[in-house]
Amino acid sequence: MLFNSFAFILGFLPLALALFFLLGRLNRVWAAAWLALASIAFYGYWSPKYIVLLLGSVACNFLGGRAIAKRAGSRGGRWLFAFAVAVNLLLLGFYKYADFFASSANDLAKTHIPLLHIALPIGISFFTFTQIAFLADANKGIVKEYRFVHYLLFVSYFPHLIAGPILHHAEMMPQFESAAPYRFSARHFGVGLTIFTIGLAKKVLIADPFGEMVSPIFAAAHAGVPIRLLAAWVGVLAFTCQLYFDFSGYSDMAIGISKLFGIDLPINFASPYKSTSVIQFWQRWHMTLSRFLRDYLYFPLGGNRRGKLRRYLNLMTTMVLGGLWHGANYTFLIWGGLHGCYLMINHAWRSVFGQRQSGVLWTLVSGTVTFLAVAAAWIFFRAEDVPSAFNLVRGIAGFNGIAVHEGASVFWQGVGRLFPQGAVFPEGAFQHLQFTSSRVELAVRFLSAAVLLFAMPNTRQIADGIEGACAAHRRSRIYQYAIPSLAGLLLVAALSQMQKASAFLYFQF
Amino acid sequence: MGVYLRTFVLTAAAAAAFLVFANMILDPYRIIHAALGNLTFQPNSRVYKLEFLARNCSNYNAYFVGDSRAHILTGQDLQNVGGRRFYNLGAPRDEITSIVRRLKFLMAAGCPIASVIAGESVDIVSDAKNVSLLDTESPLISGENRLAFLGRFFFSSQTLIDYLRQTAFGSQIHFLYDPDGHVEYLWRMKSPADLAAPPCRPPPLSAAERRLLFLKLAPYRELAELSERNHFQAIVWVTPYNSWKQQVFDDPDVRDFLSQLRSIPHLSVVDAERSSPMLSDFTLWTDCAHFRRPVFDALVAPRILELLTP
Repeated sequence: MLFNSFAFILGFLPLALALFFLLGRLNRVWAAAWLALASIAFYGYWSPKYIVLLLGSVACNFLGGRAIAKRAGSRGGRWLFAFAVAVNLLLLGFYKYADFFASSANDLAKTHIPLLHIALPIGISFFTFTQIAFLADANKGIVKEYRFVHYLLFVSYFPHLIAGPILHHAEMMPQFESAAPYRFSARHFGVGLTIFTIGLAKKVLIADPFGEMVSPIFAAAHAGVPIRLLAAWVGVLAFTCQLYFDFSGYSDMAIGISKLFGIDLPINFASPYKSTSVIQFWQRWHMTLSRFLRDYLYFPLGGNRRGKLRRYLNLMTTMVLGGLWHGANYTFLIWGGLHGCYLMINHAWRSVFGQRQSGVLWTLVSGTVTFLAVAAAWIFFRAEDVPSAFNLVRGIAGFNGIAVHEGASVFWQGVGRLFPQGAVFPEGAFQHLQFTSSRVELAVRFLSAAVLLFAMPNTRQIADGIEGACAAHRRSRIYQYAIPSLAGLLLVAALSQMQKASAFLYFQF
Repeated sequence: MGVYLRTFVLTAAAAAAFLVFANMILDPYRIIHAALGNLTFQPNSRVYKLEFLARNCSNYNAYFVGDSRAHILTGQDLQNVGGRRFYNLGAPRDEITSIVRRLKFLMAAGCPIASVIAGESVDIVSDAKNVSLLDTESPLISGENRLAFLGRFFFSSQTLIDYLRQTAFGSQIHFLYDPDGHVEYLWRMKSPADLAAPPCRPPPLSAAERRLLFLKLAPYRELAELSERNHFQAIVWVTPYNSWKQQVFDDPDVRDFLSQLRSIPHLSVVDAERSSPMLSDFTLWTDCAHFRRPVFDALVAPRILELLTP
């Protein structure tokens, strides 16, 4: 069930909310159990056969975590911890990487290992990481005794289950145990609805239309059509926008839905494209994954405490593994490696020149360089394979030609409507048809995205403004009427564009 | 905060009500109003035609069926042979599975059927999962809940925006809809270059399209069985292609499909002439996918007329 579907918005969510608050008045454990049950049903809607896998993983990790916590600091505890993490990684590896390693071995060593073609259980990367963090903290002795129902809810909680944010038990368990979420709050509801609306609008009104531009260009690159300069840049920039609005839209919706239940989820995005360095970018993009990689991979590897060389090696290892976490493909490996290089260069720059560069011009230059570096790396994130990624890299560098005229592939038939006349097809090729969208439409789409990305406050800043005004009981017409009216209109605008629900990009991870 | 939530909910409810009201009044896809005359915005032919026939099918006994290529045909193209009263049941991207379901619906409703003339486009194979509002099937056929069906049409701001953009801001009229169900396309190719442009050279069928192509055979067999059981004539004509698109017939899978189609008992299959100069005359093509009526009248109609019993 997608967040951006009528079945979810008009069916599942109201039912889950109504019973949660009803049971919450009677018994908080029942309400938590209901929410966990609803979350499992939500998961089962995707793939009923993997419910057993999810529940098995939750039960084993809960029991494992308790056993590890009892032996925290002892040798037995460490062995148990290593075993539990290994089992989690093996499970993830089996479902996600078995075919990748087998086909790599077949390619490199000319072996004939049969491929398993296993369907990836949705959300497995997320619930595995969430639980590894729990085990790691149990091993450190910082895990409290939790009720099983709260642990089950922590892992399976439907707003985050499929594509994050990646939760930390320390920020969720106290909320499940406290009384506040189980009582209906108009303030939580108003803020939650607003955040959900912003997320839905990002997905439906911005990301999906960009996606229509992206798909044919990357498909053409995959088919071997040399992508020329203009088309390559349109494809890369459109994907840069699509991915942000899609994933941050999903995260906003998850945070908004959770807020309806009175439960706060950690933020995942903080205007990442406003960053003026790649270091800053990773502090603002998919923040819960960055936090996980920092706390449970980069720091255990030694972080920056063992000299510069080791720090760079740790950075590269973390980013390459972070890339591989996204998918079993060399493109993700290269994407992670690229960001590892970016971070190394960024840290080296800082160690030589310091962090004190400032001023409008510097912000503009560093912001532009960061944005372009990130956008170029997204090519590898999106491309089907390495050759098609390099096709696009050649395209944005102009090596595939600058003008886009003769011999354009039929793939461009659909794309042609999106481009200025003559950019893809010869001038006049489409003049007899009335269905051409104007070049103005293309410009407007990119310009509006640019305004939203670079000039507007992010969702968290908007939500904080509303909550702050409410908490202070400010009788402002803007907060009482203007913002909720705009949000209400935006909700209808987004709902009324949901003719076909499209999946979120991060569901594949 | 109560004021915030109340304002939010009331605004959303008012906006939703306005949207539904505006869509119902303007009815871009002609779901509740008849689709007739000059139209800039293409209506959903499947819905309004079936709703119309459910009330008026006794006036007709012969049907043109097929996709947008068959959509332009009228009884005059076949000289209303044998006093047949033709209705064009064609619709954009229509496919044989849905056509057979619609014919069954008409028969169940007691509508007389003497002939069914079906256009077959071997290059158009659609996946029923990707259905736009333009191609949505009537709930009379799909069995969809009527409220959900109407909600999809009337709670759509994109439809309203597209409709207003195409109709209110001086766009040209593209379609002329006739009461007998046929449509005239009002755009034209302007130069020989248009017919030779890259979009007129189709890519080979993909593996998925090849699979879908052969899936058409089962509903064609069903059509043949229906025709035998209910004593009507079923004639399939393979749509003509312009000279650059003719290569589709060189595809071994397409040839195999056509040969299996021809072998179905009680189904007559008519091929268009493939060497006529009309196929490379841009003035006779609306665009690379659609021929104009003279092409059908010259290259297909005589062959159908030979088969039609008076």
